[in-house]
Amino acid sequence: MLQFLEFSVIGVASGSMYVLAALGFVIIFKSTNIFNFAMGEMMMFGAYLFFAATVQLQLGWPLGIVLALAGSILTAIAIERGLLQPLLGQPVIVLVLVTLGVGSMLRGIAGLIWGPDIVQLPDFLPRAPIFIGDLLVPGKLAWGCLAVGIIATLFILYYRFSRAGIAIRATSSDQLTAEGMGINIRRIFTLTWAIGGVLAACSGIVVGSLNGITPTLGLVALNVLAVVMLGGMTSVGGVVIAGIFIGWVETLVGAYLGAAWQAFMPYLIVLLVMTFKPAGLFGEQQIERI
Amino acid sequence: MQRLFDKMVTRAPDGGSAAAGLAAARPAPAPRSTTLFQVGGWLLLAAALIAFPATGSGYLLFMATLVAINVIATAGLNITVGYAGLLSIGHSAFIGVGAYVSTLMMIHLGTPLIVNLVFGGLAAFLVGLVFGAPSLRIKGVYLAIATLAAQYSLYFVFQQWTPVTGGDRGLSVPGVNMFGLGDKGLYYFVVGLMVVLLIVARNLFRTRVGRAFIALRERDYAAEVLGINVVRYKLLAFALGAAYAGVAGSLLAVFLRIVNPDQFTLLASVFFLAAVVVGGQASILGSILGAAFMTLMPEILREVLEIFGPRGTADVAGILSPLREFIFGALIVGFLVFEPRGLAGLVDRLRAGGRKD
Amino acid sequence: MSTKLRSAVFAGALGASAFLMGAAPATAQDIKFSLQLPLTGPIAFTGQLNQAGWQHAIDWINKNGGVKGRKLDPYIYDSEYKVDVGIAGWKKAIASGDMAFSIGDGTPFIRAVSPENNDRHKILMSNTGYASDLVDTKKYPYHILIGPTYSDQIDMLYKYIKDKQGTGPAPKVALVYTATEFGRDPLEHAKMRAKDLGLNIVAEEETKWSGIDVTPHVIKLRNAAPDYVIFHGYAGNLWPEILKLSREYGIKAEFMGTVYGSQADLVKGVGPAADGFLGVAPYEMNVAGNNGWAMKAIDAALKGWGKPYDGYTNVGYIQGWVLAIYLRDVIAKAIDMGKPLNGDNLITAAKELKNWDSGGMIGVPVTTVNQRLPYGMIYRFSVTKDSFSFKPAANWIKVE
Repeated sequence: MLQFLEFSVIGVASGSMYVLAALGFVIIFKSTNIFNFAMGEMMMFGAYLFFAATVQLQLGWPLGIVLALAGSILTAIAIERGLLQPLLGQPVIVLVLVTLGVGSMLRGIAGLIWGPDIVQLPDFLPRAPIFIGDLLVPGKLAWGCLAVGIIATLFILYYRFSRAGIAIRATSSDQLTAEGMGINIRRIFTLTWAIGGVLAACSGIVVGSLNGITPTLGLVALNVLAVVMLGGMTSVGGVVIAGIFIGWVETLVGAYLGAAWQAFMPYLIVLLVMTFKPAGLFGEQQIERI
Repeated sequence: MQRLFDKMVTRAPDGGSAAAGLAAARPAPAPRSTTLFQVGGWLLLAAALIAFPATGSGYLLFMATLVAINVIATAGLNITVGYAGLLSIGHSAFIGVGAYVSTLMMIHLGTPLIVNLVFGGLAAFLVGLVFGAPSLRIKGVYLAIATLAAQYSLYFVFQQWTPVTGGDRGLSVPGVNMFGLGDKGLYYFVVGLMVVLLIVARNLFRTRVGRAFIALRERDYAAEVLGINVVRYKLLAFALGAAYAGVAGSLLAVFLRIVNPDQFTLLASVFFLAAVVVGGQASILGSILGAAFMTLMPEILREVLEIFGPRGTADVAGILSPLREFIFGALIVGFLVFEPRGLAGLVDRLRAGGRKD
Repeated sequence: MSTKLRSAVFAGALGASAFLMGAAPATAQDIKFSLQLPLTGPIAFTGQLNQAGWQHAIDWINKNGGVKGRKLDPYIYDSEYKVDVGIAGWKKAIASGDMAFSIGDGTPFIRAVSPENNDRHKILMSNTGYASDLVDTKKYPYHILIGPTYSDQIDMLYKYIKDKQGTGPAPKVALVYTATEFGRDPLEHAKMRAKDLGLNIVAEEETKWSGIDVTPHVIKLRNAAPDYVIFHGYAGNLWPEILKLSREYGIKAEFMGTVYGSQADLVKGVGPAADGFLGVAPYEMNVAGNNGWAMKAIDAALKGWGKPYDGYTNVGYIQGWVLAIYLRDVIAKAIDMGKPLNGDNLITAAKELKNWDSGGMIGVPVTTVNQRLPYGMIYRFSVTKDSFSFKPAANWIKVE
């Protein structure tokens, strides 16, 4: 029982690692309807920018975070302005294909610049373990979880209460009306991608400091898809809960059934959700059935 | 209602322009009109394909056979993505299904390749139905996610079902000696099959089924109003693409003489998507050009790097694979943005330009 | 205009592909061979160093009399660790003429080409990996494995454990490995052998190749309370974090690893948590100060390379040297026997080459068993915040 509890605490903490990337996914999908398959690579790229600033240029981690975020925002805006806006009005699959292509490009660029080997981010999260009664939580995981909690809260507050957040929400619920109210839709699209970039970079830095980064870190992040599906593609609150839930299940499956099952489990959830509840657990809008 | 639709599409000129007004941006299938120029071109190509093994190089024969197998797989994905407008990012998993089924039949039943590959294709078709069924009832990019799930689920099965699939080590595939000609025989067989399957794909789009695919790509609702059972046709388009993959997989297995899970990864699926986009969506010529280009591009890149890069040092070694990944991505993005009709579109324009001169 | 430009590019690409048909001729005297190495892709970390080792060894051999006066002429091909790409390179090399031998990027490649090679080309093969099934000389009659298999390496660690046990209670061993072909390779053997030796396997932890959080594995290790933890199937991934966390969770075990995971530079990167770590190596890793003639050549090559060099080497790099010099001597033997350089004769020569002098790269005279070199060495690493060294924890081991 203690062991189960221990796994559960660890699982919830590691599930929080999915939350930021999943939020980035959802906000882009909500406002632009684009399913961004490059999210994992944006994560990876942000983590490498952080690596470049802190380890290669020795700028220290506060400045490293600022530079990584700035670089990630610029990358996201470049993708949106340079590639996606010209294709607006095209069928969704064209846009989704573009994000797949962009993901491949980012993987290639990271491989060309930083090579294929695993690199470690500086230990800016304290390593010292945290004790909750008899339970021990590894320091990095606990602090990473806390960082995620803070960033996610800030994001949700921004999304709920700021002018820009309200404009984004208005756009996602009804583009035509939003446009009629004088909201510049194109700017909103760019803004959501920029926010997606911020979330991706934060997520990449936190995840990467747990276990190092490689150019294929983004593929690991495909598990986030399961989170997004389960949470409902459009629900901000939903993916937070779904992320934690999937991290928990994944940890338990990994602990009791082994790694191969662990890798497969998120996709099993995807299939189950799709078959029985395509809107996800917290989906806001009706799924169109054919 | 059904008959009305039939009439409409038969009257519509070839190229699916019934829907062209709705989505001018979508690539239109190549025009059917066969000119003398075309016939001559195809004959020349046929002669080249038959005479090719006479070059005597095992390497060129290997690459040519690989291209032909990839053409079959790409043509399949083009049915799903190009014609029916459904995004599949798990194509290589269906290639894997074909490869395993065919190899297992070969090992345990000793049946000939031609039988095995029919069953390999059939198995991939059925597996495609299983994964397509839940997602295709829903509108949007759900199929893409379902195929991603198929990718990981099937990889899991290949890797974990050790008593049957040989697990991580995979299976060694017995050799086949087609027509008593060894590698050349396999080449002729693969190329012959490729031609047959391309003709089938081409003719499919002149039938009611094929036109239905195109109609539903252009607009689900319109197709439904026209009396097309949208879900059924979507499933069919997707599973048919998977079946082509299954056949390609069966061939790949006897060709490489090994089947293991690591051949069927997400990156391999992206390779075929790139082949479809680069070659030209909804185009037979596009499938050929795309598969050939994507298969040969790394080899060409390798030669170029060998000429221009510093030779023989470990320092340049890290470049090829990431560079290739970057180029794959850049090709997908570049063609979608600048030339949505792919290489086939370029060829068309080139030909049109030639006529004007 | 832009259309024309695009078609010009396309035509250029077609032209370049036609260029592939040409292959550079080599003098009849040279000994040609091909290296299909994983210079990019998932195991590029070892492939690139492997290539450097080969390159340096070939230069050295050619400068020092070649093979009976004949020069080594390699054809190097990046296989990206993909079977079809590797085979393409192999076919290309075969198409360009007689090859004395060919080195593959890994076991899947050998498994794929062996049927065809056995029937038709009969070329002597080797590869960069140490998979356990390669000692099946019926299936791989033309393959030489340049070291101990992964199963052999586990046996070496077991031998170390047994030697330390003395008359004490049965040691408790935990196996931690990746869910990959490489990781699972010695698993069955390891369990069977443990039973025979009276070792108690208390945990089998299968991890992903890369992942986010490894804590559950560490919790299970803590609960199993092993005396020894064996890592297998890793490169620089995951195991360092498992090791560090294990220390934090207060696990009092000796940690050990098999070849690729326990390289000096990786262990050094782990830091003080890796103090006392035990790693198996198929070759001598401390280069500086070794008096063997080959080790002196390697020392000189590493010094002249212009890369950071701390007096020790890496498995990928030295493997290139060992293979190059070993094959030089095998070919020389075949020439002495007056035989043409085909696979059958070279395998015979390799078997005849008894008590081979590796020039210090392997600490004892070498004789093949089942077409492999079943020798290995266990190193103990001393790591503190600002010092790093390693030395043999036992004598050279030969697995029978």
